[in-house]
Amino acid sequence: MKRVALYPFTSDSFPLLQYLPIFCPDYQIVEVLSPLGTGFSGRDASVSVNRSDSGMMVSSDVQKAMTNCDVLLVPYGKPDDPVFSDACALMKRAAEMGKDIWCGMKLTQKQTRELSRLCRNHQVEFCYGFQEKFRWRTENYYGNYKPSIPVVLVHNLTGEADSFEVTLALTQRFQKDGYRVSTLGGRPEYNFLGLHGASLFLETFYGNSTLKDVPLLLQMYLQYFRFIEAEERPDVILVNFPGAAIANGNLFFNESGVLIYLFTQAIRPDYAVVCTLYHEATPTYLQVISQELENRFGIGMDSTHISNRVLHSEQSRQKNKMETFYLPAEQAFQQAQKLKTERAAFCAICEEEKDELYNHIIGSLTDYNNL
Amino acid sequence: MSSTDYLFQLFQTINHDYLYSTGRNRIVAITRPTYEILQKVKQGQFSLDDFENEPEEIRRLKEEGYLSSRHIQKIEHTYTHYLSTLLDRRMQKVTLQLTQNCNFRCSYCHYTCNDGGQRNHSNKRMPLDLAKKAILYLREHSIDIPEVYIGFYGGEPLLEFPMIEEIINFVKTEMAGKTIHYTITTNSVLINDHIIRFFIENDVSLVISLDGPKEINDKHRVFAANGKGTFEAIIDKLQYIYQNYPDFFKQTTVNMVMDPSNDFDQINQLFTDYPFLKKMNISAATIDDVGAVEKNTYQEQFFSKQYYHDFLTFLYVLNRFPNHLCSPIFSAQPSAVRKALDDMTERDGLSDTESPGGPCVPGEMRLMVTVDGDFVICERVSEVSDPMIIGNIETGVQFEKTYALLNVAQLTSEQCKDCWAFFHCTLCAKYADANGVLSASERLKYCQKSRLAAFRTLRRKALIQEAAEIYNQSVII
Ligand code: SF4
Repeated sequence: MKRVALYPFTSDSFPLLQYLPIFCPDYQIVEVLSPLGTGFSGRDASVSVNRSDSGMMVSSDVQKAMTNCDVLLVPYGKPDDPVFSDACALMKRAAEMGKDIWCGMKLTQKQTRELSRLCRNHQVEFCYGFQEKFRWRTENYYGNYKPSIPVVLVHNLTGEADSFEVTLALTQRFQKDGYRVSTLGGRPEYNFLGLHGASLFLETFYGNSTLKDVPLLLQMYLQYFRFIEAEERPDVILVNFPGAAIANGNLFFNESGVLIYLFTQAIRPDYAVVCTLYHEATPTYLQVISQELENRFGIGMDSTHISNRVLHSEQSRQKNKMETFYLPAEQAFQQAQKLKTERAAFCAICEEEKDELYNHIIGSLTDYNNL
Repeated sequence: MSSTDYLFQLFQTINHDYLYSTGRNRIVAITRPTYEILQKVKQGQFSLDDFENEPEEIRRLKEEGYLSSRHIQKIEHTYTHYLSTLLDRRMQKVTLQLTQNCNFRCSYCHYTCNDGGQRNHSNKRMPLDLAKKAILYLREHSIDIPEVYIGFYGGEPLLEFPMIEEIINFVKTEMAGKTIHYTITTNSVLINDHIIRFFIENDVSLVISLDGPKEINDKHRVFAANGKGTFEAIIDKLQYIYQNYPDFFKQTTVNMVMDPSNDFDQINQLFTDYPFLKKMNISAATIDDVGAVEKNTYQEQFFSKQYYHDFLTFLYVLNRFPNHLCSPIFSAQPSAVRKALDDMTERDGLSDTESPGGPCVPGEMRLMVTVDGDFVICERVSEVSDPMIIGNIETGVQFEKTYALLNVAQLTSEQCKDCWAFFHCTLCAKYADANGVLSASERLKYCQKSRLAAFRTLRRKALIQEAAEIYNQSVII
């Protein structure tokens, strides 16, 4: 069993604490580290997402953690984010100490070369989340292709609302029932979990080249899916798009569904889970939104995940960027219960609700004889 | 039905007559006959429900929700239900009152007894331990945000510069991983090279108070030690920073407290006499006499001159006047106009529960910690007024008190429900503070001012729209 230290821990990496041990049973997270300024140190990791205790305590004692681990895992983050400012130096130190490095942070080419050389010299593994292990061949497939298996799309409505976690939860549930699942997403950490941090998605989201040629991109989506289907022979494909599907009033700019639109021009999903920030929404509101999504992407909202993350609209307006906070998870659960009478709404960060969401997907897909 | 059954306001520009609908929070151009009917409604001479043959335009305005008799049933701030979470997880700023002492004695300062002797300058200083506790409190209560603000305040905070150094060094370790923005509000005379270099190194934004040319500044602002004017000392410092640290100078803000008993042009003269000041950020406001014993007196032409310069700056916004001829006193106006317009988000109509604009979330936005460790909602209110003290460093924030401040509009519920300027109101709890008691009548004293500001925003919005639609003119915001 290899011992993993995760640094720097933020609310975005909370799903890794839950799912890394499930998808990588030979690995155990033994150290959850965060710089002092996040305020997480000395508290249960679940405080970052305002949920009940997870049993994982956060520490800021990097020194001690480095002696106590075999792998240093740096989750997805932007290098200019101050919370990640020490991450590169720490990875170098860890490599020199003989630790394997799993890096989900975007590095410059120079940093990538340097770290990879350092790891080679110290005979440790360097796993860079932005490089998909699974190399797909680039020979040309022409013409139309429609996956012969169901595709489930998981995306966010107006901003990050647990779509990574919901995708991992669903992957686990499908696997538990014996289905072969291919999961593709835009977070580099998927590559650490034996899933696909799809290079094509990563390139589209964080790179700078692919979007310039839209027809080529659509062709590549098709090829990629065709390749996955041929290679892994899955029963179902889960696709997780980060970012947002629609704009949030005039508060700030987001992806506004441009990426999802491109994707749905190439591949028509069979089912969509839309993750929404906590909102005291009515079923009618969700119906309207679903229609809007259908008009845009050809697929509406088959079910909704209600996050406990809330948009702080006043602050977002003032700062011209998305500002959020986490309500106690129980409130999101209650909101889902209220909506449930009329809509397929779940709070899939709660154990029982995950099952319900999964059953709803299975029900819908089998209705269409897809599974 | 009375005129307040329909919440709206009317105004005119040279090109159009307009209706502002409170429910839709939107302005719409209307025809003259409709304007005249609505004017009668506003004056209580006519009811919109009394038509025999309802004019087409009125019918349409009703249909589209611009004229609606729907009323707010309950006043409650949108964030009331999130209040405890926000206080727990999203605290954005702490202002540390490092000392109550000052080397100046400004006549309008509350510590110089302009609050009836409730507060005095004293030698009280914040113990370093208390400052550190306040920083840790900020850390523990800001886990949902990646960047926070720390302000140094006084008295004169530079009297405690060694403590500022210690605090910033403490923050570097204890808040590692968070973006920190520091600000310090100072009279500047203690500034030296060591201090400036330290501020540059640690990205501390400087706000320096200067009220105008010598004869105006020195009327109110004198040294504590000898009662002599402070102008020369301040301008020398500003000149020194300008010459030796030009980049830092550009980021520094001059805070001008304008005494309206003076001639506005005379205040403005400062920038003609010292043109280098135009390179700084200028933030100007008239003396804040809310809660003060001595109220402002106004020179006859102060307002007209002030409005004239304000108007010139607005012409600049409309791209019709050169920026360099505008008074620096209004240099913040374009962004203020932008913000006011951004805040004018369209609505579908009034809900049963609403809250007027005005209060920020107390404790989330700009908590001040006094030398004694009391939590005061911000540095602009009276720190000895009980409702404004929302807790202390030992026991934390008291929920009931923040609730009362956030929902201060409940004091004037009936008036607010009938107020056309509801969503543009600027009155926070400070304006309801009558010597330590939150009072409806105190709050209502400031309504006219708030409505006037709202009215100006509406007109500006219309003029900006017209600039584009009628004159094909792009604007500078
Ligand atoms: S201006 Fe006065 S009446 Fe109108 S919303 Fe503000 S406090 Fe209420």
